[in-house]
Amino acid sequence: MLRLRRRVHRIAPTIPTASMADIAFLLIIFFLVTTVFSTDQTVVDLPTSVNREDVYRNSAIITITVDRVIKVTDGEHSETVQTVEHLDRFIADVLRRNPDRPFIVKADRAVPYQLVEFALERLRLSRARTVYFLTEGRPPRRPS
Amino acid sequence: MRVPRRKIPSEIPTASMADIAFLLIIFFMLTAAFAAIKGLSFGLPPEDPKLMVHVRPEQALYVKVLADGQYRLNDQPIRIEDLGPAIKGKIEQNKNTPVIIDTDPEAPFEAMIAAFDEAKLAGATRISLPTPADRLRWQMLGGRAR
Repeated sequence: MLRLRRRVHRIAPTIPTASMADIAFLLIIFFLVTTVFSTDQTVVDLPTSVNREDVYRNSAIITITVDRVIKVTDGEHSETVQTVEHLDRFIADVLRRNPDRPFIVKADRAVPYQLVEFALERLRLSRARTVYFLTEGRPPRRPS
Repeated sequence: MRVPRRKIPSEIPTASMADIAFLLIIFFMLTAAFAAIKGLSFGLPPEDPKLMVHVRPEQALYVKVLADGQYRLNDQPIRIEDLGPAIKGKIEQNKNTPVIIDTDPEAPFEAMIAAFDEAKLAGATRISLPTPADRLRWQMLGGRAR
C-alpha cells in the first residue's frame, strides 16, 4: 500500500497591520478638523452661566485679567493694551478686515465691571456688532 | 552553468508608518485645544442715532447691580435666585419689555453676568447694558440719576 505523505501548508501567524497607518491618519485628520490652536493662553477664572452659546471660532479676543491687564488677540498675534488708542486701533484693524467679526470678552470673574464697560464702550464706538462674554457652565439656580 | 539568481521582491517599507502617524496624533492631542468655548452673546447697539432706540428706565425692567454684588429690581432689593422669575413674570405680560442691567463700575464682573444670564433665561430679548454716556443722557433727560 502506497503511503502518501500529507503535505501541511503552514501559514505563519501574523497580525494584519497594513491598515494601521490608514486608521492613524484618519485620526490625525479628525484632530486637525476638530481642534483649534489656542492663540490666547491667558488663564482667567471665568464667571459662570447657564445660558451658553457656541462662540464663533474666528472671533477676536479681548482678555481682562484679575491684575487689570488688558490683552488682545486677533488669532494671529497677541499684544498687551497700553493705551485707549491702542485698543481702538486693534478693534479698527479687526473690523476693517471683516466688519461682522465678533469679539470675545474673556474677563476674570473678579474684575471690576468698569474695565468690561470700558471695552464695551470702545467696541460700540468702533461699530462692532456682536460680543460674547466667555463663561463656564453651571447648573440652574432654584428660586428661594 | 547558469547560476540561479535570487530575486528580492521590491517593496516600500511601511512598518514604521503607523508609528509616525501615532506620534503625530500625540503631538496634535498635546498642542491643540478643543474648540468648546462658549459664552453669552450680546448685540451691541448701533452708534447711529437714527437707528438707536431710546428707552427710559421707567419704561423698562431696571436691574441695578450694586458695588457689593447685591441687586435691585426697579429700586426694590432682590436676591439673584428671585431675579429670573421676577423678570419672567413681566416678560410673559409683554415679551418686548426691555431689561436694563445697570452695573456699578466697582461691582464684580460675575455679578453682571449672573443678572444677564437670569434675564436671558427668563426670555428677555431686549437687554441693555448702559454705558456712562447713557447714564449721563438719562440724567440730562431728567430720568433717574443713580
